[in-house]
Amino acid sequence: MEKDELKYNELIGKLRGKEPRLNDPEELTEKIMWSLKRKNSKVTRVIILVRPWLSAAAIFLIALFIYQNNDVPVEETRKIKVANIKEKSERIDCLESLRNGKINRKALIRSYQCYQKRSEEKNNSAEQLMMKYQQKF
Amino acid sequence: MQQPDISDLLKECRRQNETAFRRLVEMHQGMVYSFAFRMLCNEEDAKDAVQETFIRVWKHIDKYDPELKFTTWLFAIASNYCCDKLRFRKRRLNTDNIESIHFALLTDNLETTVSNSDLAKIIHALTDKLTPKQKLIFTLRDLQELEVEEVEKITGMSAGKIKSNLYLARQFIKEQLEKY
Repeated sequence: MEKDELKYNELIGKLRGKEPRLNDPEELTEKIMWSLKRKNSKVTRVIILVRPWLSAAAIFLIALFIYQNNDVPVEETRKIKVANIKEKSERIDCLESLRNGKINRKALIRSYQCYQKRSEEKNNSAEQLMMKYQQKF
Repeated sequence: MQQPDISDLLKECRRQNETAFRRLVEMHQGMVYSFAFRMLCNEEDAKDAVQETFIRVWKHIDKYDPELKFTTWLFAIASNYCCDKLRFRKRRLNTDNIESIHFALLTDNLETTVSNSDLAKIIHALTDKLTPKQKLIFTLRDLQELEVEEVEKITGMSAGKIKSNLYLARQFIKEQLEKY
């Protein structure tokens, strides 16, 4: 144990005595002063002042671009979804009233209109498909 | 040449006087370099540490508390930088380490014969596996020979913590030395 202590003290003593040498102190001083000047320069100050405004403007422009490009489709899909839900709920209402035996003229007409509309859509798409096949062959 | 008073230089630095700051850098860069070199074991990294330390000094000169010794404040800034650098650095242990310690133990006049790179290898071999905190305390206490009170001010640690970190660092280095 004492031997280790001696070895340690000897080595630390040697290391203390050996101060790391800075080979070119003037060059390092110049480097430090130059980096300070660079940081203090007017251009850097202007950049530092303008940077947040530029970032804010960039963010605003990106947001505007996204909003303008996504506004119409989002609104349209929302409307379509709402219309589909309305139609579905109308059909369900009609079926419910038929099931409950509350058959009235108004409900019958409404359910007929719904089914007609749906079959019209189906017919249209079938017609379109047929047209496509006819053009192909 | 007469040495200017540090407090006068600092006052001038507060007024953004670059000539005074240059004088301050010239007076203290050697000391900061020596400390950074012992911490980072690399000449280029040590130079970067000196540069960054003085840039921080210039930037935060208004926050300097005149009741604190200027060198203590300087060491505090440099030690923060070095510890951050060590935390992000990958540990490496190569075979040169063993040879370096052998070399250090066998050389009688280490002070005159050893180059910076050899010195870096020796310190690296001894302290590579220490945590940044332990390495910092070891460097400040055993290599820079600073008093516990000053180390307390530099690191912000209590005397007890300093002692326990130093004990662990010394134990580890002694274990390393046991192998040779």
